[in-house]
Amino acid sequence: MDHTNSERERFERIFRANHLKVHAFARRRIAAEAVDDVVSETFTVAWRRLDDIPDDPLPWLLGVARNVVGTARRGEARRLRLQTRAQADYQAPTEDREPKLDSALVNAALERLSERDREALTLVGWDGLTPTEAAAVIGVPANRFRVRLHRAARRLRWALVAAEEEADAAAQQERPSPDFNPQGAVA
Amino acid sequence: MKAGSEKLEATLGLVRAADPLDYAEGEQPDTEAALRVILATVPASRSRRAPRRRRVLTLAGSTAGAAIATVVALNIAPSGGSEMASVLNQTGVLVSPARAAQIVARVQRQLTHFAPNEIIEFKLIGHQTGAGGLASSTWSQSLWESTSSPYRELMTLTSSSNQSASQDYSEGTTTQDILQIYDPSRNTIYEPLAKPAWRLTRGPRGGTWTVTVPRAVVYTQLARRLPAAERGTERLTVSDSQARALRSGVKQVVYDHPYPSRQNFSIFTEPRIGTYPNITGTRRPEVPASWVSGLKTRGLRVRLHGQSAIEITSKATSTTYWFSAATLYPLKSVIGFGKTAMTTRFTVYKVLSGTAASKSLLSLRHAHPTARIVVGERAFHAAETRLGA
Repeated sequence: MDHTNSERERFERIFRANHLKVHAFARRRIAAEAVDDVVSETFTVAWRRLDDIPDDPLPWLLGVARNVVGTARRGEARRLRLQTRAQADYQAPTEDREPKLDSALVNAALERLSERDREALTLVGWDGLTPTEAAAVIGVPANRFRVRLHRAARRLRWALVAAEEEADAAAQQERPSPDFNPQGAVA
Repeated sequence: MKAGSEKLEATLGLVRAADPLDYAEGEQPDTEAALRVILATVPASRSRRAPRRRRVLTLAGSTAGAAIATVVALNIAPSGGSEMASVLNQTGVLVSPARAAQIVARVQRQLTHFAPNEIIEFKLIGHQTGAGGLASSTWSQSLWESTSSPYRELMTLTSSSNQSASQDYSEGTTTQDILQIYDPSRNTIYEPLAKPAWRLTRGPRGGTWTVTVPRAVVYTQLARRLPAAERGTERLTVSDSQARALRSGVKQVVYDHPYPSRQNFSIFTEPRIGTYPNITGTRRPEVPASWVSGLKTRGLRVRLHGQSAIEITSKATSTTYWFSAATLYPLKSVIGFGKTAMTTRFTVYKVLSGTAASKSLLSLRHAHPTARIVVGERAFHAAETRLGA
């Protein structure tokens, strides 16, 4: 088989197996209109550096996509913040809200975290990577990522408590205060 | 009481459920169309320049600690898949599925259930070889964990790569989820928070004591932002025995309710005297329950390091574990990851009784008696960033 053809076949295999995952990775992290550019740039790099791609290409590809997203984000950081806020508002719970499990609440809590914490949680939670793969994406030792993941999860739990309390406080402000509360003294 | 891995998995479940990915109708990507586009835009033949070794090595190196991580990550590996395991007993005979399930359950139990007031100690050496010998990394880790409140643990980690002259080292203790770290280059221990002050006075009734404690403890460099409602002290009435335990350090004032008002700003409130939820176990090797399902037959005589061993293989994660047949403690694991192979050998895995000598293994101050002690949020966070802890 011609060398170039075998390279192209390998690239096509990698593309078919990972395109959706790279697309989803970008879609979660950047405005919809920029996703195709990120995916295209990622696979262009992959083609150029085909020899570098390991047998399990996904962490490698997501590592490239992460850098491409980072570059794109820097130019539109403000727009992204607005978009995220708008998204959180759009998903605000209605009458059947279940605050402890509500995705808007979790997203609001995620927003409170640092980028580093959020990235650790979403690589595993959203992109379905194992901690080892996620570590490869970020480029840190896997054991360090593991520690980071645990700390990020802990901070998310705290942030959820705060988000819930804020939601409760907001709900209480909307309710009329009772005229008389016999339990008040010991509440 | 939830173990750390359970809490992590529960939290990740919330994150998964909040996945914002929601393609609108017609927005779903078309892989074949995208492939056609990209093939039309990239050059037909790739340039033959030398590969960017540095980046490759970064990626390869990033898996340097993967054996440790995979070992500890297994307990949160996505479950519900088609994980298959084979189990060989200590004589190398493949056991029946029912027996295998029993063995896996016993190993799980041995690795997760410990009596109080003990110290778990393990040391391991890991080695990773990359594809074609491209990268090779070695790391060693030591960890001591208390099985009782305040669940202190001390971990050291050293890693190096044949592609890099640098050597990473980190060392820290954790008590009640609060980290202290040691910087060897400055021979300094950084502690983020001074112990909360408490005062004991006679209680309202005979045989009782009143503990006066700060109403809240702040874990942040922005302590001045403590809300007014959380300032001041609180009084707790405790029994004679609780007061004795408090004085001796067996029990302590713990703050249960973490309340963050903003990023990097956490307040622990609701003080009480007692124990704290067991936060340990997150860095110890564990065997996921999902391994029990689906067993594969194989036959080998298993001897490892001169002793009888039980071999458990997970096909889904390309991981094989060997456990001592006598103690059920881990001896070794081998993990495949693409073209790389990572081997972890447990040179020590034992449970120490909680003597003063073994408890001192949990203390950074004891490990570095000449170290300077710096207490304060700002210095701690600076050190944390500098050391990448």
